[in-house]
Amino acid sequence: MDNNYPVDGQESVAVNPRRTGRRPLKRKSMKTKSYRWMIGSATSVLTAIGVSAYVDALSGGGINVFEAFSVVLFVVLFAWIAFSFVVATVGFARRLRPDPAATPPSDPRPSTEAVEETEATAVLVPVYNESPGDVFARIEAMMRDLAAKAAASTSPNPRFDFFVLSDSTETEVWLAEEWAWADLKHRLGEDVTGHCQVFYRHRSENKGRKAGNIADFCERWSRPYALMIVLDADSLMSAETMVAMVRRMSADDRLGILQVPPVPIGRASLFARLQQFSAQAYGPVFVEGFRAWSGDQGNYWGHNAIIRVAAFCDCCDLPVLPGQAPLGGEILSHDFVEASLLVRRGWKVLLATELGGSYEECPTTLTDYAMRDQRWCQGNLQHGRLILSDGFHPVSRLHFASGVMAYVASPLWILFTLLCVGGWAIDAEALGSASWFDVYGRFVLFAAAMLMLLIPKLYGVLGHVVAGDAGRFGGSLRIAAGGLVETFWSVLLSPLMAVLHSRFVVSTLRGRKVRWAAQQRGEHGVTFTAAFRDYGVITLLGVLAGWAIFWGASPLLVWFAPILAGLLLAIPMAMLLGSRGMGLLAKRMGLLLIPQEIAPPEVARLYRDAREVSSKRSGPRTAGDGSLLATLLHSPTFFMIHQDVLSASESDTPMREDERAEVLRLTEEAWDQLPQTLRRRLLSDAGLLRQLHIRTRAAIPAPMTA
Amino acid sequence: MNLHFIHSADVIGHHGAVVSADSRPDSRPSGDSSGRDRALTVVASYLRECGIHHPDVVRDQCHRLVDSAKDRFGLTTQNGVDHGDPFRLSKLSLELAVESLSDRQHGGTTGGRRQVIPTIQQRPLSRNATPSLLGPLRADWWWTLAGRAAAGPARLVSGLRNGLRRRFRISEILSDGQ
Repeated sequence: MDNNYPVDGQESVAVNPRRTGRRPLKRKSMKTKSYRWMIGSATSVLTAIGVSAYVDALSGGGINVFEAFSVVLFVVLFAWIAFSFVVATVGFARRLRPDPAATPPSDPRPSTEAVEETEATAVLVPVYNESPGDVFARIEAMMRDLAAKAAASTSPNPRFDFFVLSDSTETEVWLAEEWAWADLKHRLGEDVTGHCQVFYRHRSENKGRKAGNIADFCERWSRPYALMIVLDADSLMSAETMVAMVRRMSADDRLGILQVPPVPIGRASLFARLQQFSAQAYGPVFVEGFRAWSGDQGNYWGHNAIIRVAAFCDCCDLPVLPGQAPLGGEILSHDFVEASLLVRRGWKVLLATELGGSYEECPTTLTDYAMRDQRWCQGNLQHGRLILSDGFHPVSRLHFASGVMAYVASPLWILFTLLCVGGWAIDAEALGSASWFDVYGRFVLFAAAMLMLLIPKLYGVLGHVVAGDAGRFGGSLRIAAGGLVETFWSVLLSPLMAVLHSRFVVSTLRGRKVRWAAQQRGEHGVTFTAAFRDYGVITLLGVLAGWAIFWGASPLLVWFAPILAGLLLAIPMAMLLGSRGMGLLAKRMGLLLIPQEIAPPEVARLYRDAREVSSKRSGPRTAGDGSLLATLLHSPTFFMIHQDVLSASESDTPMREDERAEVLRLTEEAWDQLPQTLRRRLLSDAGLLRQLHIRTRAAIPAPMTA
Repeated sequence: MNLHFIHSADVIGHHGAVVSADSRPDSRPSGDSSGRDRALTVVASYLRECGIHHPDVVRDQCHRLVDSAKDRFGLTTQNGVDHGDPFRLSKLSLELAVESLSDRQHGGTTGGRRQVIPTIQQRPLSRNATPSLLGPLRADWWWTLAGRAAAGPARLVSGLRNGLRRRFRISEILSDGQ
């Protein structure tokens, strides 16, 4: 393993001939190191003070076995809160007094060097059973935005080739993607295709999930491209940002990944609006603090980032973890690992906090959010092993640890709470007289922990007010009111999320999955039945916990009220938060507004237009049972598109003879009984499709003669 | 690929079901001429849906395709393969039509295949081995450490022993010589 990490900045100077001086890089490196020391020291001091106060508070009535264990957990949990608080404080300070040396100019090209005009950048859009209409509307918006920017610009702009990399397994979605792609190509004029192209590829087997999808692109189509921008199916990026990303990569040969933090936009439910507001109001404080300590060893969030293809192909093949799933085997959450693999070979991974124009969409209901979190939970827990693996940079280990703690903190808090209650319960003297409370030690600690959690929200709001950009959120009063509303809901949601995360952690460690109803995309409400099914058990847990505390330690009931309220109100909360009407009401009241609602960016406007056009355009005229597969067998145009996709993707996979016979029989006798797996296999068998297409066409009585 | 077809001439299906030719006996043509007429009709309809609308072009293409198919049909009939399949000529003509359209798109100036995605150019990825745990968490690391720690004294002992042997041998040689 390569343990010889480059000293920050030094290797960049050595290998990058474009850099003319060492001083700025050294200064930057020194700043990063001083931030690391500062954050590390402040976190240690705060943790030491907190732990000392906690032990003092406990020792009044003697420390029993529960309390002794609780001290260990307290160290971990308090350190985690203190770290987040210190990072946010640093971020706040940096936002108040931005360091001009730390922010690269918007166009950092050396004046003597132009970006290669002929060299195109690949824009990858991996999709897996997403809404084809929305996916292609976003691509159309980005392409039109790029074309408009290129037309308006006097300097040469880089070219962009969009690749829709489909792993979709549902045949109807797969075919709808092909149709939407062909339709988009048909509609795009020379003014757009002169600057960017859109390609489509489908894999018959989604080996390695999203990481495997991107690796497949790298192995087969990446050769002509020096850079690739990786997007998610719901990503949207402005042309200005994409061009700026390319130019920054061109100006720094050692930059492996440039991540532009995406902000959620475009959803209307109350829950989505809370996420959008918090990400935009408080997010910058955390992201700026994160950038301060991570420096050139930043992180990759899986999308809305630009990657140097050669570096990626050289370093980022994902290793297989020893052991079986859930913690071993194939790495599920690839992004952090890819960043760490680049960093260990001396590549820079940077966070571009000052570049805007990077958007995504967020889940609209609590259940959708939880489902996404569950997927991430298993991926992040797997990283636990990498923290202790050989060859990674210490900062990369910290990224892994942060990911693990994002989920493990919840069960640890619950365990800590139980240990505290247990400790109090067996401490008869303390319970009897409630004298433990006379010391106020625990109250001060509780208040301190709450402040450390809430102050970063204040930083976020204050930062915008002081910087004079509160108007982007509707004004100082509205951003402050939005902050209060968001805080109220986050307090209520915390215990619920803690229980959900704990379930995810426990079920992942046991190798099981928590069952949810099928995931729904887009704006959809939450019915009482759905809410009861998903949160009934949590409500019952709240009732039992409330009864136990009331019965065993009634003086503590008031302190547990916020936790119990979150659990007891889980069902109505899920319904209220998922409601689009409540979200729109908040918008009408001027609450939880985000800048993109007040002044929509051009690319978002183009997306809205493209979606409208897409919804108005009819798909192929359906035939047979109304499915796109039956339509494909009728339509020569659709059939040709599909044959071309199979041929170009080299994914023609003939079926076995017995499967072919079964398909031939079912398509003739009982079309509706053709199972999904056979439909999928049929779509990958060009020969059999052709046979069925010709058979179907030969049977159509045509009205006209030649 | 001629994407002009998509919206201008996407006339798909006339009876709303995926029905095999063989499953509709009442629509069977009675003889050779009706088989040919049917094949011409089917191919003409197909070509029109593919965006070929000029009547002269459609007519010429249909006759060319059906005649070529008939040649093939005649040969196979002699072999007895297609006996009793009145749709065989339509199917073979359609097969030739599909082939011809496919060739035209891939070989044409629009470069149909390149429009889907550029040509594949293989690029190998460097593979990463499974990362091992940090040294102190591995048993073999401790063994290596112990081995190294033990190697020093062992080398000392072995050096001393070799030195003593050499001295002993020299003294033996000297004593033999005397």
